[in-house]
Amino acid sequence: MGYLRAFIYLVFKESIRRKTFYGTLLLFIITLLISRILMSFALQDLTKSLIDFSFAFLKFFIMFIALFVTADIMADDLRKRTVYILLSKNITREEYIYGRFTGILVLLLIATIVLSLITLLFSYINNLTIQPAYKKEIVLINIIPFMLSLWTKSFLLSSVVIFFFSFIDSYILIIFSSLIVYMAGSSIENIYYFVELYSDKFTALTRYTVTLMFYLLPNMSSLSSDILINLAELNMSKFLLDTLKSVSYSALLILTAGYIFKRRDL
Amino acid sequence: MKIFLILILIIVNIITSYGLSKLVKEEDPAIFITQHFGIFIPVSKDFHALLGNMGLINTLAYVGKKTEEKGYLSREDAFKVYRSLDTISLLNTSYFDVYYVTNALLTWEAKMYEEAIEIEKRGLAYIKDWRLPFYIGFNYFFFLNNNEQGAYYIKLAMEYDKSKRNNLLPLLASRLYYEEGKIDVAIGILREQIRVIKDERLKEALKKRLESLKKIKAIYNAINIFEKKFGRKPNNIKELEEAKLIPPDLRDSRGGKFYLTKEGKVRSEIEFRYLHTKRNYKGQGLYTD
Repeated sequence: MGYLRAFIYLVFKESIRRKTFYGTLLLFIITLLISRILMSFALQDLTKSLIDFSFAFLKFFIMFIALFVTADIMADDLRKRTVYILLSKNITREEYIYGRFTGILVLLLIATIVLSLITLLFSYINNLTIQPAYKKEIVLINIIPFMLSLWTKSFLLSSVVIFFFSFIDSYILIIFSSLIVYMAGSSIENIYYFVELYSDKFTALTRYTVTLMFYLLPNMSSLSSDILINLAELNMSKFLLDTLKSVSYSALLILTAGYIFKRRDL
Repeated sequence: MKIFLILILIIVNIITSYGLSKLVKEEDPAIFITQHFGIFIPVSKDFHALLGNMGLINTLAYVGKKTEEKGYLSREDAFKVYRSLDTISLLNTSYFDVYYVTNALLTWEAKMYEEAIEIEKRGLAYIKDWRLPFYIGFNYFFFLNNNEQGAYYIKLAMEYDKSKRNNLLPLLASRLYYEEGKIDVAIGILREQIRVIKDERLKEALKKRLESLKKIKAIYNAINIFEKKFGRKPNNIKELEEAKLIPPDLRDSRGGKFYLTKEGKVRSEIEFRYLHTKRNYKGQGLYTD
């Protein structure tokens, strides 16, 4: 297990050194300020508008970090031939995949906690400036399931990237394939719901295809930010099932990636 | 040479951006408003609320531009606004502003009352705000002349905590039930509200309305007895007084005398006079009691 700790340290150090890391952080702060400006367009429901904008930006950035940091780290290992140095240090190829994933897992956990708390603090302070008639109370404790959901989805996306990395050389192709899976995975719930709701309007083949995709694809949608202002209740059974599916799906991808990478010609 | 080329390119960029900014301003804002929910199905659910919020800002800009141009919303514009608000209410179901704008634009401006109610009813499942059922109730009784549905939704609005600060709702609901001839329901609502309301001033207003309604109920009972006794309906209140079925000179809580309409409905000169709504008011301007 010692190699996992080394990988966590390595991923963290590599990410901190990247200029893109600071660029992303700066962009994130700018978007938070934009969400404050956009809130001023709201008429009555100012808190809802503020939460919608700021937490949508947060989701975007977490997924952005998950996609690009993972792809960058993995592609750099091949490009700069770091992978050979690592594999020469008595680490198997599978351990390399697991180690890299664990490092990214921890990095994403830290990023999710830090950025979520910044967003929450920003929203909370701004909410204090809103007049009582247009204000809603922010339920601070609900940030915990929200963060957990966001972190789960982010490492699920990372595992998709690592899975593609295990057999694809091209960086662009890895990003492109992962992005397609992310988009399909984040909309499959909507499509499935829609097809089921109007099942009489679709052919049996369409319905079966959509159902199959629903089972095959990872669910990439995270919890709604409405739970932070008590506009939506946390459906605990759905949340737990969804988290379990994401964790197991991620584990499956990483194990498969390890298996494929072991047999890959480097 | 390279620096010169870079400078040229920067200038070209500034000029083209300026030109584009002029063209964008002239663009029909309709292209920015959301027209159908179907196009958002493949978009991640994580960003539906964000798109809904942006859609609402664009819709307001569209309405602003159109009303600035023509001074009113044409039927075609109104339909586009309706489609947009309908889509936005599906994208961001728990955003109150969508229903607030729907109520303001689709009723007073676009005269699409049923459509506004349809969108607002969607919000009832997601937002616990007394204003939403109040809007629906108001639209029913004021624009559609449906007092019964109006009273039902006003009564629903009364059940929300924040509405308890407002004596308008029980008074309005009781009035609408009275208009529908459901005096017992109106009395029941007031009795319940008097029991739960803590504010003494509000309680006093409700008690006054309750007393007036009790008098109306007594007059209706007297009419029934009169009919059984004389085989006909009374022509006026005086006949009931002469038959000693009601006390003489009954008045509502604001001092108005009671009278019988041609249709046999009991009204009073002040508190229960004819209810003017958009549909049955023929004069200038719009108002209601």
